[in-house]
Amino acid sequence: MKALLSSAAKLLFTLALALPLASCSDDEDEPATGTVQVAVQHTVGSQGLQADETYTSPSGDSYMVQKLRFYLSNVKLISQDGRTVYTQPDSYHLITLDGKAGFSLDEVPAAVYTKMEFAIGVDEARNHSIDQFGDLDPSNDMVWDWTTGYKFLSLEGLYTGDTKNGGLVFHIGEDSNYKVFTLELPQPLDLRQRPTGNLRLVTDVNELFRNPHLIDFDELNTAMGGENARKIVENYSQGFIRIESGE
Amino acid sequence: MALLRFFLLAAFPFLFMACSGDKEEPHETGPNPPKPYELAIPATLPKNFVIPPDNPMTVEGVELGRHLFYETKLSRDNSLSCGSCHQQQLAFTDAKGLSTGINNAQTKRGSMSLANMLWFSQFNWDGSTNTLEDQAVGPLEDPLEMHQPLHESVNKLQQTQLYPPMFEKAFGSSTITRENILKALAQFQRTLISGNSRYDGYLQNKEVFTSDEVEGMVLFMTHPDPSTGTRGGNCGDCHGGVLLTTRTFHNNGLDAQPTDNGLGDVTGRASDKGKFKSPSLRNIALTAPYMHDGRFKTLEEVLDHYNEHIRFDTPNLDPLIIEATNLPNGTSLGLTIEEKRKIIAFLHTLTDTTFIKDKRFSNPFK
Repeated sequence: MKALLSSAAKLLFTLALALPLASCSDDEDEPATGTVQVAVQHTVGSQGLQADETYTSPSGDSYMVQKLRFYLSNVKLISQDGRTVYTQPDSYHLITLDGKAGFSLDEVPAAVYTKMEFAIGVDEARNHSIDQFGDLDPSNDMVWDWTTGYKFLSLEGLYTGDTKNGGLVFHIGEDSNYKVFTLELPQPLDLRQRPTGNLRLVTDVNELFRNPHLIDFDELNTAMGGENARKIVENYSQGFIRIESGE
Repeated sequence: MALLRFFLLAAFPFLFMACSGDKEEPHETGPNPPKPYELAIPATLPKNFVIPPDNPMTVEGVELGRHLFYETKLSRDNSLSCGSCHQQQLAFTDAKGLSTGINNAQTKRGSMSLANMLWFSQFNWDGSTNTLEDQAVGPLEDPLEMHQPLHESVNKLQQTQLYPPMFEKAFGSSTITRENILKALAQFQRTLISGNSRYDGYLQNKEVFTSDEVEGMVLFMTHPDPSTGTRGGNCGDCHGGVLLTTRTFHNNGLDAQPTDNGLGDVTGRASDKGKFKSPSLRNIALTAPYMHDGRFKTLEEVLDHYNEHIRFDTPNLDPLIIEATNLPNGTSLGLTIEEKRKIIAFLHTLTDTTFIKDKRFSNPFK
């Protein structure tokens, strides 16, 4: 049934795109635009991340991930000269290990882009409202409550440490932990030459636990807020996500 | 699924924006096509949901579904309907630990509330079906439940005065089919929306909570963290969000060796053994007894389980439960008696009295 629904959705979506084109595309002189596909790939060091596989943390504990989900939001592309900035409208993407692994940036003005900006988290304006849909579904499992807002990043799993073993529960949220990233593209993305482009974002789960705070799971295996959550945020602020160009 | 919903929501407006001015109608069936059913979604419930494109909701389809839901001819001995185990005054449950089929056959699980099924994509305690249309086949045909093959139901309904014209109005043909029985039942169930509890009023600033209810709500939603002095009941990790469920599956430490594998039997994965759906807690004060096998008679017993009786030796115990304590280096949740009482006070705010009295959901034969 899922396959059926999915193909039905695809059909609808195709129809939705095709209909307006077929029936009323008589505008001339529209500025040239392109489409950029963004794919997100999860890794641990040099290995691909898979649920229930065992990995070694930077401090030498073994662990497995059962759930990894985070909000990648407010995506922008910034041109070489800084004069063209593409801002994706309604830009909230719940990236998950077992589900959504990418999205499309549409109607991007043709220009040469050299930087990508995005955030991990949900901005304060949207973080405390139940009146929204799409990936901000207020019934998904990223919701805390309407005071705290959404979990920005959620990692759950199990670990075996040097002295103990148990669960890993890292739930990171709160407005003060909303973190904006501006990353240089490895090579300029020229949408004037070609109207389609690909960007690949790669996460490294070990970077949640490495730098500047080396996380020993025997000492710290849960974080819900406060200082411990802050440590994880400071860790994922550097190295957790990098960009690799598609082509 | 979230992505799918998003696409559907994104795609629908475009369909209607095409320049031709044509209006999309549910499939035309004859001179009197059925009227589209307008779902009224309460302000506090999500805008994300999917109606299967091949089963658009119509006024006539929903009304037919309501009759079928309460129709005892759908059981082998004409003694039971869906409504026997899903009683409106109990938020569509039956107050039994294990529900019973014809001849008092005992099933292995309790009947689940049918509130807000519109927002679900995995049904039953074990997530064994993905649409309401498919879900109904189980209880209708299972020898331990209504025990009547659908082709037999088709024959029985076809011979009545009542149903052929109702199917004609809903689906354009008086010839009854298995598919249309399932579609109508699903349409009716999608109308069973519960979003008018005191908690919904509170979320809209229309209702004032007592201090116990507020404290209970905060405890309910909070995962405890002794390192920051944050006290929590750890309920929202699985029962959070406006549906009061994250629609996920968990082993919540009931038994060292689960006798019912739940999701594990559906997926075949050892890591899913002993996992069951975390049900919505809307109307939870009405749906005792609790757990998939109804082992806890009261909410107090449920809180005592999570607070004091988790089996840490069960396989696949959820990390959210393993790592939930209010005490530094604690090995149990560690809520106080007062805190448990306050959480239960909050749970009572989830009762929706309009839902259980709504005439549109009631038995049309009474």
